[in-house]
Amino acid sequence: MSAQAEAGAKRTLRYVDDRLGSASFLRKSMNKVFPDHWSFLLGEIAMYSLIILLLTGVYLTLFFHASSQEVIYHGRYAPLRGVAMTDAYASTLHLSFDVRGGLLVRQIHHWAALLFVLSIITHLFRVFFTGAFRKPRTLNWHVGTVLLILAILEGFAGYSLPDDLLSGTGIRIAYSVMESIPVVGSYLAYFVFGGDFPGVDFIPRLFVIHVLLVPGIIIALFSAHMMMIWHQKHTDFPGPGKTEHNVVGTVFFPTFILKTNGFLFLVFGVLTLMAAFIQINPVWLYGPYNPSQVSAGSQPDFYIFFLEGSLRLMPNWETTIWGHTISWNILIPGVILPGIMFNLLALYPAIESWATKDKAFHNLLQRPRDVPVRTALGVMTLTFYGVLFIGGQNDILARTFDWSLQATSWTLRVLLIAAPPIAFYITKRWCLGLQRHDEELLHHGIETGIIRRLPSGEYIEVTAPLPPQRAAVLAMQLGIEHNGHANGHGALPSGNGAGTIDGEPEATKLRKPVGPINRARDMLEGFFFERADAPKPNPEDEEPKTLSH
Amino acid sequence: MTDETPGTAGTPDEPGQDAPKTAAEASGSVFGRLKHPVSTSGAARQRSSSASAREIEGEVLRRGNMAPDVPDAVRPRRKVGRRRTEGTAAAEAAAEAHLTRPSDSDGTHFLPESEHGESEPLDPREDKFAELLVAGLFTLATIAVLWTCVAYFLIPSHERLGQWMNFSLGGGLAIALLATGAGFILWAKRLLPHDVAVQERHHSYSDEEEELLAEETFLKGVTTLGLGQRKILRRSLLGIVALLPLPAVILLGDLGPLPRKQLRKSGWKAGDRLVDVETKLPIKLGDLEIGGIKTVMPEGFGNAEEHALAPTMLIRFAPGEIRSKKERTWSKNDHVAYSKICTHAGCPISLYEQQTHHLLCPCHQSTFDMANDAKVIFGPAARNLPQLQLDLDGEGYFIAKAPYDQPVGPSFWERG
Amino acid sequence: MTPSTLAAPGAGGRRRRLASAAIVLVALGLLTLLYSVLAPRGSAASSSDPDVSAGRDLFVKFSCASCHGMNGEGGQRAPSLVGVGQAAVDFQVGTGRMPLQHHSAQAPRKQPVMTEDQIHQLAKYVATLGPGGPPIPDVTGYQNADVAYGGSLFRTNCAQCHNFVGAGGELTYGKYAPSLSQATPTQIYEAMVTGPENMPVFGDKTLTPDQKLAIIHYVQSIRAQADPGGAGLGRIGPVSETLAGILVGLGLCVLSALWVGSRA
Repeated sequence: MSAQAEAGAKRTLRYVDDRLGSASFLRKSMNKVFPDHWSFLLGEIAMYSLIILLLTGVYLTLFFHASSQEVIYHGRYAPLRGVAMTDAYASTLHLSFDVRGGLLVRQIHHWAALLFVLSIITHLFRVFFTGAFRKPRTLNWHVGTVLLILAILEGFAGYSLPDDLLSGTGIRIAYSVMESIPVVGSYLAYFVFGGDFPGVDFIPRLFVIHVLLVPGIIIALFSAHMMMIWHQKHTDFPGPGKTEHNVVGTVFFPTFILKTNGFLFLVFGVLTLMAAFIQINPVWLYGPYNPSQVSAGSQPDFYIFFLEGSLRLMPNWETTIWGHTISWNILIPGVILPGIMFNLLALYPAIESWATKDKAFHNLLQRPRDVPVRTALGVMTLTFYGVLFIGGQNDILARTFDWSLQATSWTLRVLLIAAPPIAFYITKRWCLGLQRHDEELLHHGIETGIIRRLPSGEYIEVTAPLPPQRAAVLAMQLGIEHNGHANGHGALPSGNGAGTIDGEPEATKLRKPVGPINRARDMLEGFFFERADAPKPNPEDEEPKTLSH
Repeated sequence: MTDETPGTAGTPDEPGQDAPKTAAEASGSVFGRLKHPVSTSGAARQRSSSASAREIEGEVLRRGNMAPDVPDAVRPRRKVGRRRTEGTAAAEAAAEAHLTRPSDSDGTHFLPESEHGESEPLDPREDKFAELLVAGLFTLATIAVLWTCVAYFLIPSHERLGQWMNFSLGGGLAIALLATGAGFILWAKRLLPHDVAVQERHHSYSDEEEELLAEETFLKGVTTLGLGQRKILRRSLLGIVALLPLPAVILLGDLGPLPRKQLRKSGWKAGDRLVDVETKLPIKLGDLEIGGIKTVMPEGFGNAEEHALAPTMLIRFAPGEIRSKKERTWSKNDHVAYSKICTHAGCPISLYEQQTHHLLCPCHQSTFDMANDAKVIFGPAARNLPQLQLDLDGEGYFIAKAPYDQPVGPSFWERG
Repeated sequence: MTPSTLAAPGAGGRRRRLASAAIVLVALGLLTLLYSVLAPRGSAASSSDPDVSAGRDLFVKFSCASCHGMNGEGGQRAPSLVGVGQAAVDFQVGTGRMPLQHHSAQAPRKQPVMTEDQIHQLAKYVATLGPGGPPIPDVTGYQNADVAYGGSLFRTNCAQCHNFVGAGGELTYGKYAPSLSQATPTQIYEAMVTGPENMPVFGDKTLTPDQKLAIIHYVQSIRAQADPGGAGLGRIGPVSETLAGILVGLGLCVLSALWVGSRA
């Protein structure tokens, strides 16, 4: 750096510090270490999608008219010229066809909304399956659950604003769900909509909710989410040199911030690429909303599929007692079931720590296989959600694959009850099997593929011990005692070119596996599991750093 | 775990020591760590382990929070009141050395390259190539941005409904963003040293002392408030606190009218002519073929927005096809009229299968048998569709003989 | 007769023989004339229109009779064709739905087995089986119809089965409303006016010919319309968008994450 630039930087830092006392904070922040496993970036996809949503959203508000006033369209799009529609819909058409770049920004916004919820869900599953939600991060999990719910609501509000035929059908269903709530239903529906359906108040109210209220809460909660991560530091997978009391990775400045900044541009770039070349939500094809019209194959955006599926698969139960009707066929799928699901999601850390009596602090992650029950529960929930998710698209699937619609619905109903327990069982057995494999690896070493014939005539396979650090980590993950002995066997003491001598702590040199298929597999494994830089034992220490507090 | 000598604390490589048996045990009990904090290297850690306390030891606070030109000797030493454990002098010296290595001040230290296996020196040509690659990407991004700006003005914006404009702006912007992102990533991966940094985690909880002090302060404050002793104060406070949110709720009272009987009204009256929802023209006998359907509204309510419960389906059967007696009674010349609004969630139905007489709702697949009282034969709907009694007026136009005999559309609590 | 009572024997006998021959000839002629006038004719133009007979040949050749009966009277396997009209035949055979290859929930569109001329001949023949039924429509000039009005009508009458733009939709028990992407303007009109299989009948008093032309104009113009936002993904809505979002959006971002982060 040139002397002048350096002097300028120093001056700036002094300027800021004199006023804010920021030097220590800045230094701490710059030196903060972030573990850089790729799966920790899933939450970042959500964060960057949120930023892009805010930016593109502001642009959209400059052109959108959140009004249900009826207008006659006289714009550029011929198939709707002369058609009566709300100003909201007309302004969306104007933005899409008459504003240069308007369609692009609208599409970036919608793709970003989909990616936002998708990445939140993926991030949620990463956190769940690795146990990152355990103490002290349970509060952050709750904040995250609320963020998920808000993101879904925000998305629903967003795609309903243009008041097109597809989203209007969804609003009609939402009105009916509200209406069905016992005692207060009709009042709630009338208050939210300002009267009968559709009314003229709903779109303007939805606009305020979508543009001001919910984004405000999301930004506040998201800031809290990030502050907690900053303060508690990110969790990390166990590995050589990593303990509950340290973080191994890259420092924030300059390495991590450069990478994460690049990632922001990549996410933004992917969204723009999609918005440029893949059409989304073509409202002009749907037509303006009309309560007497509907289209075949009407679906909400994907994050509502599970609710749509539960509405479709629900049996037609309704009870009438003493002049009052309770529509179980709407209440259960629309209100009770999502209520239970989200509450279970929010309460899960408490349930698990109560069930396992685990009150310890955890900074190291777990492999899914090391907690078979939690993993199986997660897969079971995912299966249940997945069947509902598919149920929401049953008519499109039936049309695409030429199935009977009724047969599809019935099959999904059966799967909804039968598939989750089966998934639980299979997952749990699978995890236990993988653990057993790891234990064998620990006790018997890695199979080298070398067959040796002993002088007695017996054939044995030579196994090589795991590197001690890896063995220690594996033992810790499996939760078993490990005495530090390298456990290979079958090797002759003279070390005849293959295998090692028992007890040697150094990492063994393994012969390359033979055959093109094995070589290809090795290469693929190398892609998925690139060996990270592991800190070698500190020469000052007498013992290698393996397991420590 | 009670051994303080560096490097032996709990290492399982030595059999015989109390090796941790479970992962939970390996990470140690909170109280064990509290009493005897140990750093990664095994050295005893100072009791004052929160980061801010560390900085206090660090050079920054030697400056204090006075202006830069105040000499060091005059600056007061900040007292924080944290006790330190007595460590051995060697351990302290090691910790001090550990702390005061240039990049070490917060417990972050870089592992030298020799320690993490990156032993091959980087070919300077590779470094140059990487730099050129990154520069090339940034240049590509710049060109793409310029293209985007130019395209905004040059590309005909109405060709193919604006498709070319979308491709040009979006493609240019996408290339720019992706190239910039790739440039930054490659810069970080290829041009920055592959340092591995290790930082200590400080537990998220405060020291026992701090916690106790905080509890004490809080409880003292609460006692001072006197809520415990002053019963009438407490109870009256409870009263206002409980009721204060009430105006906020009540002020929402005019968000919408009360539903009253509105949900029971469909917009149909006796004698209303059926009119085509599009053309607003009345329907004459003979307008529909056998197997034909039409969406109709009551005359005068031409706009579906004005009364969303009014849309009705007029269906013509072949003679003898209607099976239900009630349906036949309410039909007219083999024409029947049923509400179009699904009794499940309110979507307008109208997927009519002429041969099977089934009416399918596209939203959740409720299916109704239109030849048999619109009974539900599949799907989540629980009630038949309400039927509208038909008649013909003097001029041969279809009219509603009576309004719907029940509330139309989805169910609600007061429906009955 | 006796030889004594006869007149001049030679000339009178010959004249009498000629006269009786003439009477027989005249009688025969009169009878032929009478027959040709009074004899029952077959259906109209059955003997004179070559198209109809060609149609009848096609009816036999393509085994229509095997399901529909020798005179199109129908039966257990197929409906009656009496009075079904030319438009229905043109539609069913023109879209390849007929001849039906095997029974399923619904006859699918497939490659027609006859040329257009043959189909017209067949249609003319079937029309002779019974009166009634709509003729093959003339849809010239549909491009002049109001496309926006057509769109409105489409959304009210057609979209609930065929989807917003005619991409098709699912009905009950394996039946479906097919995609309109291959339908010609004539076929669309014919389908509306005849109500094939489970499609409702939109007669010319339910939807006037002008309204039908407007709908056809809308369908055709939407089909030809560009997708300004990029790939249309079948124009079926959020389902295909979700697939693209997961595969392309999340997929590319996760691949980027794999590139940026470490993988141990």
